[in-house]
Amino acid sequence: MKKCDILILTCPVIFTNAPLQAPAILKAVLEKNGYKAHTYDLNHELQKLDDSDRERHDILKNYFTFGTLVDKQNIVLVENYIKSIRDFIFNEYDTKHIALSVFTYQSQKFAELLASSIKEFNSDIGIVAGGQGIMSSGINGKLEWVHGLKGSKIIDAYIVSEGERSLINYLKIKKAKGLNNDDWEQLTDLDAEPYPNYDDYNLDEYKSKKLLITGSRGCVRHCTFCDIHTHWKKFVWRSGKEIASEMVSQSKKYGINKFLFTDSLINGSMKAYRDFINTMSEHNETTDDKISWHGQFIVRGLKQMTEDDWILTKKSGGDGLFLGVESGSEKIRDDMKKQFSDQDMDEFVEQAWKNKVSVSFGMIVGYPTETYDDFLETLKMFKRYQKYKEIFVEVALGTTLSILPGTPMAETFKNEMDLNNGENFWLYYKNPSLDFKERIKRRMILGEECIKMGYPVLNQNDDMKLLHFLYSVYKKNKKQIMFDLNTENVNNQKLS
Amino acid sequence: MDIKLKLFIRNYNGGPGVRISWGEQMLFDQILAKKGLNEISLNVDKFALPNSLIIEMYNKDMRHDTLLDENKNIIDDKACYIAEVCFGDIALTQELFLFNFKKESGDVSSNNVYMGFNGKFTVDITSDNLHEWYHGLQKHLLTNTEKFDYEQFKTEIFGINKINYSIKY
Repeated sequence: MKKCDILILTCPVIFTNAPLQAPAILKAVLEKNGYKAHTYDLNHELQKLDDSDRERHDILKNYFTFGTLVDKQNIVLVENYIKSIRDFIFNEYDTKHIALSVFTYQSQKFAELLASSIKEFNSDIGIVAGGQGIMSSGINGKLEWVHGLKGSKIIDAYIVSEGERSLINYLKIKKAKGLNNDDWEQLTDLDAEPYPNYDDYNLDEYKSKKLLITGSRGCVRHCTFCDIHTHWKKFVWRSGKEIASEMVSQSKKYGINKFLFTDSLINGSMKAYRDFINTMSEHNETTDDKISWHGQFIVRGLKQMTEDDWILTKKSGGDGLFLGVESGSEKIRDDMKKQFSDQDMDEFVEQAWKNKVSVSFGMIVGYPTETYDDFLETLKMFKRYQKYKEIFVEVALGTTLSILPGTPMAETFKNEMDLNNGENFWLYYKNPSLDFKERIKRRMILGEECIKMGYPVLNQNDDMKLLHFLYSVYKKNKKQIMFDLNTENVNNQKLS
Repeated sequence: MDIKLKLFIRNYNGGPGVRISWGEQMLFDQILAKKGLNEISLNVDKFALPNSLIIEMYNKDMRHDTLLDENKNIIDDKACYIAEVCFGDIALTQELFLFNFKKESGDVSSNNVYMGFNGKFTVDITSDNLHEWYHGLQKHLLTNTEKFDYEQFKTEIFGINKINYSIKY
């Protein structure tokens, strides 16, 4: 048996083929503080079942994700699966505490069932739940679910937001900011934290051969449709050299040379970014095992991101910059507080093309203030960049703008907008011709025109299928329940 | 919890008997003699989940309660078509096709909301959270909807005359 102070479990269902970073970070932090910690990826265990017993996998995944069974007799499968996981834990590990990593609300059902089963078997085991998924309705959501679990003694504690300090405090003093309350304190010195420890993972088993890395938390922008800036109290970043050092160290230790940044923006701090690309370029020039990286990036013109920066971006392994462009209309981007001009865009895309750095565009069709002429600006933008289309990995056009009650955008427009029974169905009184039907029309036109121009449009058919379904709900004046707009990967989940 | 049902009745020979129960609790038991739409409003004090809503049709004699013409086409019947079931603000219409109808004989049919035989139609709420459960039904419908046709959808959005749009940019 493996003896430890705490066992950290990744709860399904998460749509990723990569090992998640949080449990590995927490293991490293705990061990640095003198605790013995083990990690186990139960999400990966469930995914493996997809290869060996797809029917059972699908039933379990559906139940854990949405809490539903088409045939209620299959509840036995769920109960047996939870019991088998619980038995595995008690047979393999000798631990006093279990931490449940709940990445999204889609992991809540599993976490709850497993915690109940563990407590029934041994009520002396301490259980703590953490992760953004303990909240309902987004990153700034409510804590009803986790309050309910604690009230019924299914768990002993919960951690809001960052877990590095709170988990230590849970083991040590049981009371602290962010532990059983939402008054959490943000870490300000990320460089002082140890590198994620994946020693308990069999990384060969993961289909995605890349590791996640975090260079910053928070965001320098305050885009109107996004709630990241209202969650993170500050934009905190690591030095570029430290990020590069982690990549080199982890690639040597685990034999993986591809990294995906979890940051809202990789180049939020240009100083840190320059340090990073300088150090990584030097490394890549001296080795055959070249490192590459990708992630979310902000558009910057040549005044902010120079031609030299672009050359080093390529040399450092930058490839696959995901850009939240949102609209081809500068006016709409100003309304969104995106803070980059058409000239910035033109310079950025030209430099990416010159340096053979691939990009992806994320778009939002139907921002409340978008006129038909603004929409035409988006089409013109794609036409302008058609000559660079070889560097486009994907263009994500989405399923038109959705507005969740309680988000900053709903607050901004609350006196001028009817949410109209659903996050996708809103109507902005000052632009009444842009109803849901018109937004679908624009989305159709944009999809068709982009495909004609040769762009790789992501999930075109699935997006249309979803819109078709939503439109059928809209037509009947029925209520749209908070919908799962997340599809197949962790990036999409984060974006939504 | 308010539970409302919209049932369309074919009332040959006096109409079918309909019983509605919430798990073990009987909520409604009547012969529905009125032809066409029958709206039934019920209330459950203790709406504990998971549980099942059972709509049972009885009082049909298969030998006498279906009127056939000389070519054996059905011209009148004693039957019940379930058009809508509402739990509070959640209305199930097309979602009803996901549930099973078990005939008195024991045969089970799915994808069917027309009760032409005596039997029980069961809406299983398999989660302890009603909205979460409904969310799952929508998702299930979406992922299993085979009849999506982009051109048809486009016609619906653009209108038949504007489907071949021309746009200058």
